[in-house]
Amino acid sequence: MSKKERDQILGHGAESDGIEEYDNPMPNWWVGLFYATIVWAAGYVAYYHFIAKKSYVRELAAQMAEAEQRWPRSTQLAKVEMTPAAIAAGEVVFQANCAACHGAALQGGIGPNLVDTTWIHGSTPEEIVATITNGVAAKGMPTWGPILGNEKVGEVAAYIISKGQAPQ
Amino acid sequence: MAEAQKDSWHRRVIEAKGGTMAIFTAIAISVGGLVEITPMFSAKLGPEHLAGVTPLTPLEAAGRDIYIREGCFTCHSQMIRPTRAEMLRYGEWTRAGEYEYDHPFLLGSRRIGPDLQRVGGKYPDAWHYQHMKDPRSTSPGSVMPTYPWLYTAKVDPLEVAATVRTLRKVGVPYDDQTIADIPQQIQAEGTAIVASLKTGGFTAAPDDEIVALIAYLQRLGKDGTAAIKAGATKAPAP
Amino acid sequence: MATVPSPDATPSQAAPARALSAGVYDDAIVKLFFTATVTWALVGMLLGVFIALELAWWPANAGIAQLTFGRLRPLHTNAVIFAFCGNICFTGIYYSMQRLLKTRMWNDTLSRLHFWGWQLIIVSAALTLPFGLTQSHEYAELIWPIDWAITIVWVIFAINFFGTIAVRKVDHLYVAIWFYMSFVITIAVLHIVNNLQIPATLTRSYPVFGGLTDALVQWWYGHNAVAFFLTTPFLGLMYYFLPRAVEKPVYSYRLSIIHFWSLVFLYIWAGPHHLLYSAVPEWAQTLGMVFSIMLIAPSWGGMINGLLTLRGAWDRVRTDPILKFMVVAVSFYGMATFEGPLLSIRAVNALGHYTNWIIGHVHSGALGWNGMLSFAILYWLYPRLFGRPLAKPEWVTTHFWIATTGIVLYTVSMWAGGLTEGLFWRAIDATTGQLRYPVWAYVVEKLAPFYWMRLAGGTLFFGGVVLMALNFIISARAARATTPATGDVLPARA
Repeated sequence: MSKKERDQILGHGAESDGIEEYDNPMPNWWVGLFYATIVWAAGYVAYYHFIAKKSYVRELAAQMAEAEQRWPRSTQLAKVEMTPAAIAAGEVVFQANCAACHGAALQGGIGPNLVDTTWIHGSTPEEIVATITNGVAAKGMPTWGPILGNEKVGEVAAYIISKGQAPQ
Repeated sequence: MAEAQKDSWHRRVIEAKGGTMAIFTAIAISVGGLVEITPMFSAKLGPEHLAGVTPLTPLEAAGRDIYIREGCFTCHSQMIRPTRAEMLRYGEWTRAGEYEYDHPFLLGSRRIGPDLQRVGGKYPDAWHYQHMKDPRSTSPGSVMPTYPWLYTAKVDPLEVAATVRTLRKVGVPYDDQTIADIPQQIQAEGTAIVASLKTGGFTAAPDDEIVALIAYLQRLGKDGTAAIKAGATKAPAP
Repeated sequence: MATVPSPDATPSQAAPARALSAGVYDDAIVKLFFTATVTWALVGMLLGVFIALELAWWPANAGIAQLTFGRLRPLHTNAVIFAFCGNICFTGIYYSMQRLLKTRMWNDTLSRLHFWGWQLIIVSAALTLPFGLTQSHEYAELIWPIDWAITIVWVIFAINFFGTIAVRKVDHLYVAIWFYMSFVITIAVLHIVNNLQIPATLTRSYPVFGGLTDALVQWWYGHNAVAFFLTTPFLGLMYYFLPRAVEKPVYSYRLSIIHFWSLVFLYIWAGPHHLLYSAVPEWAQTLGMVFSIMLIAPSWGGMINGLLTLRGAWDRVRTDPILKFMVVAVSFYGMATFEGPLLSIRAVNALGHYTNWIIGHVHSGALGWNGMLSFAILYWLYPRLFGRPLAKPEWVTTHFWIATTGIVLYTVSMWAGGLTEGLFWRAIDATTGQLRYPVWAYVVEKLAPFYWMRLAGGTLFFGGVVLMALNFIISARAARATTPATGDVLPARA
């Protein structure tokens, strides 16, 4: 399209209900933007799929590796320390995750009572930690270990023990 | 009607010709869809099959119909994204093969409530029973409505049969036996859930809608999780 | 045109051309669609206000199944998209295409079948969706018998549309017609492919595509419903009504050619950006993302052509509320078509997907672009179509300011709420490496103020529509009172 003078009426008005049209050149910045996005699109495809060979799986693996390094996972089961700080932290964890089934006062509900003398899956700190960590699939108790992490499991066990009638 | 200027070529051959405009438009709008969608039907480029993912049982399929009817997907997604934060919250990210028998798909587009892709087995049956009755009793602060009608309405085996038969027509591999035994299967599966609800202190009938919905929710993500653990899924090509 | 002053005869460069054809047009059908537009705007937006209330205050459904958010949200989206926006498109198309092609619609019976068929479809949507009868595909929720009805009505419309083009009295097809044509063709294709279902009962059916194929087909549909139901026909409307309202020539013919073809070609590719970070093959997701970015310029081509057509008329924007509506509409179109590509970028989408940000985004398009442009067209058409003045012209300015305030409250609240969600969901505790906010409801509670603010914005916007409807009703009454002999006997063919 050759450059015409600006604001020249094309003269189809009679064929478009009187609406006239100019044939002004497209704004340069607009044409530039269009080309830029096309170039960018080609560049992105080349970079993502062929140069950097990125993928969600690789991205996720990198995230996981970085997290592993920053927050190393303890291989042992959580330790229970009956300190006031741990118990207080455990209460927060309990109210957020456990209270829905075991009751805000640990009195039980969907899940069993935790302040009576019956301990279905063992009453020692190690047994309580194992129950929380591994869950009880048959009864619908989730495996909280991977969800909470060792530290929180230890804290919530401390809280439960502090409230209950388990031997310390 | 005098033309003020000579017409440009494109005006003569395209913009003044209705049929040409229509055909060009139809071509222009077809390319993208064809390029993106047709490869989905190829075994190589399309979604992978995941060994161990099996169709829903009739009761679970009935529950899924309830999930659709109530529009659960307007607030809950079924798609865990492959990021660490999503995996900490919900579990393994969702693989393509997990959706193989989903007609229709229910990925959702908005999380007013949490993702449900791996909610199966996360809570006891009784938790769901209580949750649908009064969401705030199990999830304080929730904005979910209550669903009292699920506790009185019944699952109709004839409707379930229509569902399962149609799903078979669109490619979900149900065998004749499954279709023949639908009422018995509903009864058997429902009875098991009713028994588990009883331990939580709730009474229900095997053909209550809430029981079917619980059956569906408890199934969500289970096949996929097992298949991923068993290493059945290959990492998709980059 | 003897009894009523013809607004088409307002002085402009083309008055003689218009006067030639006066009297041959079917404006009765335009009036029907006009009335339906205003009616469904009220219904659709009231539903929106109600479901916004449900998120702010959950007991709002009063324990009634038919009023739950899950069942009413699809009715809200269907009512706004297909009832309100659909009817304004048909209003504008039937009005403008007859004039642009200098001929009456090809067949009056088909016009009426189209009108009544479409309204019947909307009524059946209202009678099925609240009862949980849904296909679950977003914006394609309607059950299979209604899908068939849509197909039939759309074919009727298409026959009438192309028939009118075939019998036109001009050679040239004005740019508005191209956009209308893309609307008629593409919606047919999208609707049929995304509704390939096998019926199970009279009210239930299951799609032939499953899993991620179904997802990809649905979002190819869903995205292009936005493109070809809420964008291209509205651009067509803009190309007719904006130059008519400002009485200035369109800025650039060649820009309209380039942006039309690039828009219809590129738009269709962008669907997979709704499925970023899903297990849909990554190459398809990449295509969805890069084509979205390439859409910025073609979309802005429409905005530029609209805004530059206003050159030399900006002083009138200050005084003419109809131009105000148009300028804001076109500006919101420009903003929404920038925000959309932005949200399609993987990294941005990771933050925004699933959140209220998306809700804010679609509403800046729906309220800002579709809503404001529709109001401009309705106000511009009213005196010309019904041959009587607006009784309360000053209310139009009031409507404009109420609506604009409403949109600002809406988009700001959803933007803030969406960022809150996106950031809280992914926040990691620096010391433990675990989720900072593991309890879902904690984030839900944080959203309450944003939901109330959104409700306020939506209510204001709805209030503006009530004001508009009242204005039309009062005007009709006033006209009837002053001219009892002719007020009700406006010629069917204006």
